[in-house]
Amino acid sequence: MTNKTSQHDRSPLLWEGAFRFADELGPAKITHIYEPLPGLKAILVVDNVACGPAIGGIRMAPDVSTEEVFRLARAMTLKNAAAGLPHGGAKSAILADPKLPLSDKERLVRTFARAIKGITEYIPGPNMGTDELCMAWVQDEVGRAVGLPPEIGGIPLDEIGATGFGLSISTEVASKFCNLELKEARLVIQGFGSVGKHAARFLAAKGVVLIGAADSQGTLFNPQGIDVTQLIELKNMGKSVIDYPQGTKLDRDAALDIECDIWIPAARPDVVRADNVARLRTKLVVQGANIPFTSEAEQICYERNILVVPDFIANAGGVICGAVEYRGGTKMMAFQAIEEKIRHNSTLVLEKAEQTGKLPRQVAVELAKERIQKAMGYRHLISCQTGSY
Amino acid sequence: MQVFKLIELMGHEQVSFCQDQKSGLKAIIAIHNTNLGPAMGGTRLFPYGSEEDALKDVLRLSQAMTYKAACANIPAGGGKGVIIAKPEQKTQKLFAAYGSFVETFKGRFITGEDLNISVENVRQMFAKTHYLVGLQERYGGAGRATAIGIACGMQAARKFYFGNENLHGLKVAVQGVGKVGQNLCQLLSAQRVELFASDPITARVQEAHRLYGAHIVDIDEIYDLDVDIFAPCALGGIINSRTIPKLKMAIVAGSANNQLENEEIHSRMLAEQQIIYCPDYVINAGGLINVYDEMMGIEENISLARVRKIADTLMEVFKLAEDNNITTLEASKRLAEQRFLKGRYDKPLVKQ
Repeated sequence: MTNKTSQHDRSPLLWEGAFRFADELGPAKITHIYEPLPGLKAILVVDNVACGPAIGGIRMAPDVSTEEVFRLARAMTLKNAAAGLPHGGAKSAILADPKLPLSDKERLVRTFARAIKGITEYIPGPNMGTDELCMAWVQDEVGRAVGLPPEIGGIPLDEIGATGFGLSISTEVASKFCNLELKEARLVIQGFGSVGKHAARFLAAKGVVLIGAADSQGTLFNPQGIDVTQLIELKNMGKSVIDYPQGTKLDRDAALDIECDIWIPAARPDVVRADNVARLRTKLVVQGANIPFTSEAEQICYERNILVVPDFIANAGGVICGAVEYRGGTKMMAFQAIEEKIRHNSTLVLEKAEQTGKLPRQVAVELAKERIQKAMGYRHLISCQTGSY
Repeated sequence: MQVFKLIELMGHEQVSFCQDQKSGLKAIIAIHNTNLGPAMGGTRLFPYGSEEDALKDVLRLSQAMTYKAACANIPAGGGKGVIIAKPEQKTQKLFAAYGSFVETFKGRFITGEDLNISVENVRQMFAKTHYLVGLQERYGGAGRATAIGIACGMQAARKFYFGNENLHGLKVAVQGVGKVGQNLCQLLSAQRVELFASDPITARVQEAHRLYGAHIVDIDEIYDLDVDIFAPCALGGIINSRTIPKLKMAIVAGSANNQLENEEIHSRMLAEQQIIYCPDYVINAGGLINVYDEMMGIEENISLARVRKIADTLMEVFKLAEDNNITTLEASKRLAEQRFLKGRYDKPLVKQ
């Protein structure tokens, strides 16, 4: 039985209501933060913390809408619950240019940290525009952050390739559901960045052959196989995939056309949509980026029998690493946790999807929601309370 | 971004939209400023027509609280909460949910009753948070303390502008004889003031008439009365371009919040008509002082003495206004800002 309040004037053209996102999960609290002197404008969306305090990144960009921050926060709620972490979902954004002079950036980040000092249901982490240095400042101000520099207890997830490792585990599990042998399976990675390159590395170790890799400069294609170690070295030197000596160099979005067995998007959202999904020729998609496919594209893949492992199941390696770090765990413990959780949850989701004929994303969302509702049931009242920390 | 545009204009530190579907709660908690201390401000429940209306209300109310606390010499900042709901939708669950949200502010926001929120409702919040005031009426209650502050304020205005603080024989019109208005009538009648009272609830004016001899006046007529002091003790926005031309009295001194419909315009209009305006948030701070003192466990006599000090603050305001040829409202703003706009950035944000 729900208490229905009156329908308020939506007037979407005139007013972007903060309450328009409301559903049974959240968002519990949307906070706008303002400090005139350092010029700080920031938004924090705490979506649902029934499972525990939310781990969510601080994005720094000149223009982020509340809607975007909410979508990202909700994605974290689902991701953390699906990964079986005792954490809820939140996300924040500092409206500023991440390329500011360092002292200005520090001023903003420290001011933000002080503003959220009492909001203990939120544990900040790095995201686009912020990094381990920023997290060190946050830690200094309020004593809680993940993604710290290693000197103060951080597990350098980009260095060790936590997310990429998780992707490789998810791929391994998924391959069994589409009758795919990993040995010599052909892999294309769209977005050969910190997530993509490690995914390539771990999958190569399992016998997968990289035949295509794309970054912002273009796409590298070599049906004979690309030397992953060499390519990673090139990228680490600041070069592009198209600087690789052998192979054909194609347009940036040509990665979509390469016929392969495994296709991993690891760059931006909405890269594959209804208007270009027909170009995809693969058996398995494992989503490394957040929301890389539109829902229409995912539906079409389902109809074309392309198995799509949803982002928040496959790419949870990063946040799992963060959760381990927060509890003072080691690199090894992070890898163990990532392996265990992603293997377990990928299997659960794909088995259920097979049984019920539903889309894997739908199954994953239901799984996450089930866990969240259960956690909400343990709480006396609302999703914004986490008890004392 | 729209919300930020509003916040930038008024300078709020944090504005939070809180919602919980299970209980039906939709609330906005605005913390305007915490330089002097944790943000204090009541919570009001109202069926706002839109989220925008609710936001604008909570922003201006929380800002007024900052100024009020600063003028009242309370080491607190300004905040306010609004719950978007109809009074029929009040449930225990709703207030428990709201209390849970107040708790998440960890003491940065301390609240109590306001429009459509009763002490009982505050007790329902108490299940989830203790960052509340006004749970027990102390020293006669916040209503009485506010009234004492108003009466002292009236004396200050009379003293400064007429050389005599004695209210004996003066005519005072009290608009709204609820908790504060009734107490005010009692205090003023004890000082032999001739009272005129209006209130949409007949029983109330009849009580004021019965106990204090107040003349009963129609709610529309109260502005036209030929009296010495007008005490608005009900709704805000009642001092505006339509009512000011009617006013014949020399002093406006009441407990209502946001009496001026438009601060800039109407404070000037009053000044032009040579009507002395006792800025609402200065003169009506008695209630705030009362609940703050309750929270801090300050002894009754000391608390009431602090309420009476509103007279001193007003004298400061009047002097500042006179010396600088500005309105009393502008003077009180400056006084408050002098007090709360400092010390925030003392702790360095970047290594020197």
